[in-house]
Amino acid sequence: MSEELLWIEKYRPKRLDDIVNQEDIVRSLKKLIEEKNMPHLLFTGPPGVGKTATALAFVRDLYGEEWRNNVLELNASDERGIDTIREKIRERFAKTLPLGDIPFKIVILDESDAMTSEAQTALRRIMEIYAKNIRFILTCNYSNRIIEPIQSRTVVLRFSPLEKEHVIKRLLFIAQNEKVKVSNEALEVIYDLSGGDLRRAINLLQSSSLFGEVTPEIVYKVAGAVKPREVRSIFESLMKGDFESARNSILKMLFNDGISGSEIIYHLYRETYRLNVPDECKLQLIEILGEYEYRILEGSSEEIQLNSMLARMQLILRNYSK
Amino acid sequence: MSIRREEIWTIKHKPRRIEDIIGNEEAKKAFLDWLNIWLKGKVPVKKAVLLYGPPGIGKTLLAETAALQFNLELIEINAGDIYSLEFVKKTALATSKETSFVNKTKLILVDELDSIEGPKANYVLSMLIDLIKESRYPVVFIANDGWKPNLFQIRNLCLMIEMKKLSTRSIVNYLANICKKENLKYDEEALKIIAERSEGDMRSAILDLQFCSIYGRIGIREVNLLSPKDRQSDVFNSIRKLIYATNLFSAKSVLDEFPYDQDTLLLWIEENLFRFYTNPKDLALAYDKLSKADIYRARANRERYWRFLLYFSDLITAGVALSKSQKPTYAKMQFPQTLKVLSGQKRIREVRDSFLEKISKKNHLSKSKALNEIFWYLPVMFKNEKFANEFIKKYELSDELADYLKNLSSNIDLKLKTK
Repeated sequence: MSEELLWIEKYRPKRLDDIVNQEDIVRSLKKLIEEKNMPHLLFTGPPGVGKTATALAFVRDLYGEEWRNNVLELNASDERGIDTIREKIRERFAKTLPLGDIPFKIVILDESDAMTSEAQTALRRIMEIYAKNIRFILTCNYSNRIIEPIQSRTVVLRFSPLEKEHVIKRLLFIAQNEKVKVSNEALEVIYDLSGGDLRRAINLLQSSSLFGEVTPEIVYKVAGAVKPREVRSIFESLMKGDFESARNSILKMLFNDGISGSEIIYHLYRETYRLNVPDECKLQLIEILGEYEYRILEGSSEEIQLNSMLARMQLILRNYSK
Repeated sequence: MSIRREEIWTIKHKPRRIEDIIGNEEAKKAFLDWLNIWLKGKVPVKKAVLLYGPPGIGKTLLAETAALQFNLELIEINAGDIYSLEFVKKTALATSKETSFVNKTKLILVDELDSIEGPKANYVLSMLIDLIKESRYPVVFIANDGWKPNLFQIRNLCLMIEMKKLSTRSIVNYLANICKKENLKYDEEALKIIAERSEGDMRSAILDLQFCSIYGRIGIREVNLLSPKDRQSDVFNSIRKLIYATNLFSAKSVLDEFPYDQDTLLLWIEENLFRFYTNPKDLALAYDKLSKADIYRARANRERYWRFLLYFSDLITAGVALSKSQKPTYAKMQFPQTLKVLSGQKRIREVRDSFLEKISKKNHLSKSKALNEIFWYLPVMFKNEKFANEFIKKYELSDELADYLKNLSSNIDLKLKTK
């Protein structure tokens, strides 16, 4: 296999021993491999700390070369609903016996907190029906969004946020391996900007490295250019009362960049927390964002809804920036 | 495919000199003879002219071009805007009476004379008569209907100059010229259809031409997408009317006057709303009406419950017009940007989605995460050409997707020297 181009692919942990910063979890998973038995597992924790990577490393260590035949990988936010998940498990997976000396197969269901509670109830049934020969590994960001009956049937493993030293150590390892010059200050900046998300940190490191030596300045510039983080400028325009620029940014995102309306709202939502305005202003903005995400769902034209939203937000922001 | 702010072609391709204005040679001569008397420092018998004729043939254009060509300061008064005595005194009489400290002659232009109606009409007209009597500068009135009964007193004080519809031939020639300047392929027959439909109205013909240009060429098929018209007024006038309307009835009458369908009307309103409603409160209120209108439209389509469209029409017209607390600012109208880009958008999402599918599987991510965690880094990474080429090869990107990414990339300015 030729060398991976994207570092997040190239440096993905292949075995449990490669996993960073989750010693306790790794130790218990190794124990399961020794025993060749396991309960259903629920991995919970913030994004980019290695939940999916750990699940994949685990099944590799467990099944060895045969892992692909024994593992079904699904992503709850991509599947059309619980019915398609059920179909896939039943048709393509449950009918054949596991290969090798492990008496069960494994379904990895990512982002399972994206499922509604009805879907989760159905999932619980599926877990029971196939309990004899299928084990589930569910991953989620928020375990409280997983219904209790599922939580009670799984062993919940909590992934801790990556510590700064671990992230920086990993970045340094990659940089050395790739023969990239990077200053300590730049690594600190990458860590800060990625908020402990290793995937984001590695992406940022690679993007920055394409422009020579990695300095804090370059990291900031690169991070600022990655869409749709430019949403910040939308708020800035609105505060200045420059509706036209804000509207132009929205139209560009919609039509040139092809970002959907609800995605734009999601990014604005995340940026809201970082705005330098009083909390009650943030809350009003969030209310508006929610209202318009709903309207986009109800309406037919994203640009009408988003621009209407801008007009409302402008009104609020003007009040607070005076 | 980037968004270009498209100027309205009636402005972009405006003639710069009187000789360049098409048709109406007699009228042009009469007007110039009259104006020349003023320019020689004399006062003609009739201090004012009334240029009248159907819409879109160059009446206002003639006055504006003359002002430009002879270096006159143009004082424009919209007759529909005259609501108070103070207004006329301040804008018209005061300006025309004051001894000019810049040594520049003025040209007073009163447009839409025949729109003066209602209880205040006589009052406004008598003020205009005072304006003619007291003015030291040439006064130009413009009307579609010069023979309207209530204008008889003004008519007595004016030199009447009639302007006529333009010939199909001359419109076709002009449109062909624009096409050449715009680098637009055209079919002579298609231009003829536009010209004939316009019934001698150059402005509407140019607007139709620009409208069709969103399809990239002017052919018979493109032209036939436009509804045959029974137009009372053109796009501009109806939008302007809507924005300035102050009651339910006049706002809703725009629905009959706007020459295209109501979805298109909504696009025009959305594009121009913020230019005219500069008060943030008014803007938010009016936009909220558009937002709700859009929801009713979607519901009507979804439920096949067409009665909902009633609310759609009311909200985009009366809802917008009555959302203002102050008079809208004067602004230039713009052609809707969205009309130009709508077609390309869906395609891009499809192309991108197929790539996301591939890369999300490989990276064990959902598609939305793959978009945010991987895809949006690519335009930045593509700033490095070597990386871009390797990536395109390795991931077997289609030409379309590669071009799309390169284009996004070229829009990023990192403001640093790349190695």
